[in-house]
Amino acid sequence: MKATKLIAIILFTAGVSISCVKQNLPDPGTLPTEKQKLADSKVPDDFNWSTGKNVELTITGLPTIIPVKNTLTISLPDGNKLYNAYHEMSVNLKLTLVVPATVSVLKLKYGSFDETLNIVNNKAEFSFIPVIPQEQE
Amino acid sequence: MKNKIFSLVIMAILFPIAVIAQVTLNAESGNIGVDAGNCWKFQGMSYISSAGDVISGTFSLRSGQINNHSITNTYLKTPWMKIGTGNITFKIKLSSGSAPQSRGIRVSYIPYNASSPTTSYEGTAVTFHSYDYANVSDLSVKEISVPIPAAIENSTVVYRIMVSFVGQTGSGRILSDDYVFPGIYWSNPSNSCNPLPLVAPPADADGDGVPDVDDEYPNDPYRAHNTYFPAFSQFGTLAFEDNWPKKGDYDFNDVVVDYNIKTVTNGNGNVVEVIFSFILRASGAVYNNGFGVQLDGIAPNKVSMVTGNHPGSLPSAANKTESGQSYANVIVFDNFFSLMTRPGVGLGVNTDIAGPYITPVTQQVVIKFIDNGVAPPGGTLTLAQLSSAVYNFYIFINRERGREVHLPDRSPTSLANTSLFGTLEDSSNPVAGRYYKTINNLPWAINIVEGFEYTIEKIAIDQGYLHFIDWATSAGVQYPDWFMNKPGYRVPEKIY
Repeated sequence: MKATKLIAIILFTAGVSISCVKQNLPDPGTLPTEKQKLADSKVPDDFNWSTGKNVELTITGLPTIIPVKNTLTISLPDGNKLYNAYHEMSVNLKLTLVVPATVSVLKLKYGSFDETLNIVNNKAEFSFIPVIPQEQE
Repeated sequence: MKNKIFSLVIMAILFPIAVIAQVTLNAESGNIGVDAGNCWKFQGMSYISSAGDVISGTFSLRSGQINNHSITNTYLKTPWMKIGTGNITFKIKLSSGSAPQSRGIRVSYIPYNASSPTTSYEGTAVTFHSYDYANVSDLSVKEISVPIPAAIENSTVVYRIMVSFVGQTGSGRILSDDYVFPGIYWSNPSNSCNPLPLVAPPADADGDGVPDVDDEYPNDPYRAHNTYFPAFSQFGTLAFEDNWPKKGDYDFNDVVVDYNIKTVTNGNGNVVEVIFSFILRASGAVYNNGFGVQLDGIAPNKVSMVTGNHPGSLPSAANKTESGQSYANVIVFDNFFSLMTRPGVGLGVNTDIAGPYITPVTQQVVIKFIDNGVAPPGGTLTLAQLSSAVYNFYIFINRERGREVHLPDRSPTSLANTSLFGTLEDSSNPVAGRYYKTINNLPWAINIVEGFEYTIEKIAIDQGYLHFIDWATSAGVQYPDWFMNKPGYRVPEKIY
């Protein structure tokens, strides 16, 4: 009987003690609790450890009747220019651009052309040759 | 054999575009888009190559089914032209159809109307020639020859010529080919096909072929445009560990350098110079580390001269690129601490909060490719050839030239000590193009294109940036913005 009381007192005291301890729990999202360390991490083989990504941009030229030159500008959506040079419209161009990994579109300007190019699988493309709906059979 | 789609009869130079005295169309491009891109207009038309329908060559034009006499239902229009003199000629032929009642063509001119942008500056069409089939069962080729009206011949203003295909009832299309329009092509495909300037070309003070309005250096014949990486007035950050081939402490502050790259091109689109702005921010290192950049794939003789770098005693070629390299290399500095002296408190510079803050040093390095219009021995480079992906930055540890550390999977220079690959924690495999990674693909260098604030000495980057590991282990898919100052992203006291 005494032993039972003693155990009950001990358990009660322990419970009170634990419940009175200040809960210094970390603010979720502010401290790396239980997280693995970088040194122990395994990372995918093809990761480039850059916040940028290489985007291959292909521009198909238009075989023009006469030489046509203008300023070709490739920009990020915020307007920052990644490529800015005088360009002959008939020339095919392949560029590798480094852009922030979060960017999903590029902007192209050339004379009156003002295009938005989607980046798909790190590739983007544009053709100066328009697609014309042809009269069907 | 047919001529090219546009036969060039007379060519003269007129900024920025040459002119020709005859405009032709024969569909031999095989792609109606190519001719539309050159400012032809088509409505209800296609290019065909079926043997029974082709008039000459491999392709001809074919109208859609014709069911009215409107000249704006099925047509082709020339680009804007300065009309010449003589006859417009072309060939037409009816394709087989069932019970067509009538078929014919109309030829009209369209004046330029500067006050009508909604019609692409086209005024009201004036029809000056009609041809109607007397026998709609006649499937022979007809050669059409139409004199240019006196009202528009030898014009100093521009017109389009429109050929319309008309008729009523039944089925049956009109095939056509080998159009010749006397006159001078006067359209600009890069400007919505609007007419070229009718009087003076745009001003070009330095004569480099780039109009002043487009020229960032209007009075410099050797320069025309600027391109920046990562962006104008923005800096990326390179952060290195210097214990390679051993693992480091992953604080990525042994060498911290910000970079901005300005590339200047000329009127031909060739690179004139590259101006690097480096900001030396920190080096939490015992070692005296150097820093350089390789231009991957670019031969040293493509460079005219390098200025502003500090190679120390490392040997340079006459153009100040590093000697003994297959690709152009520039040693930006051979020892970080020769440019930013250790304060004597803490391990290095600007990583230990016990030490004083040392104002970062900005170093400008210029690689000149074309010097006052003179190309280097190796020839010129286009901006596409010298894109931002070419720059391969690295450190070399404690002035030991061969002990390079690059970003993961960037190739070493010719002077790297390849015997260190695969030793200790490095698992490089040159045969597989694998470089500067551990067996678990951990790096010795990272590149934050948007720039970032590094952690303090001995604090691994993942302790300061709580989503760094998420970002890395997901190959960049999760938390691509891990470096940003967002709630729950950082531990501020662990960041310098």
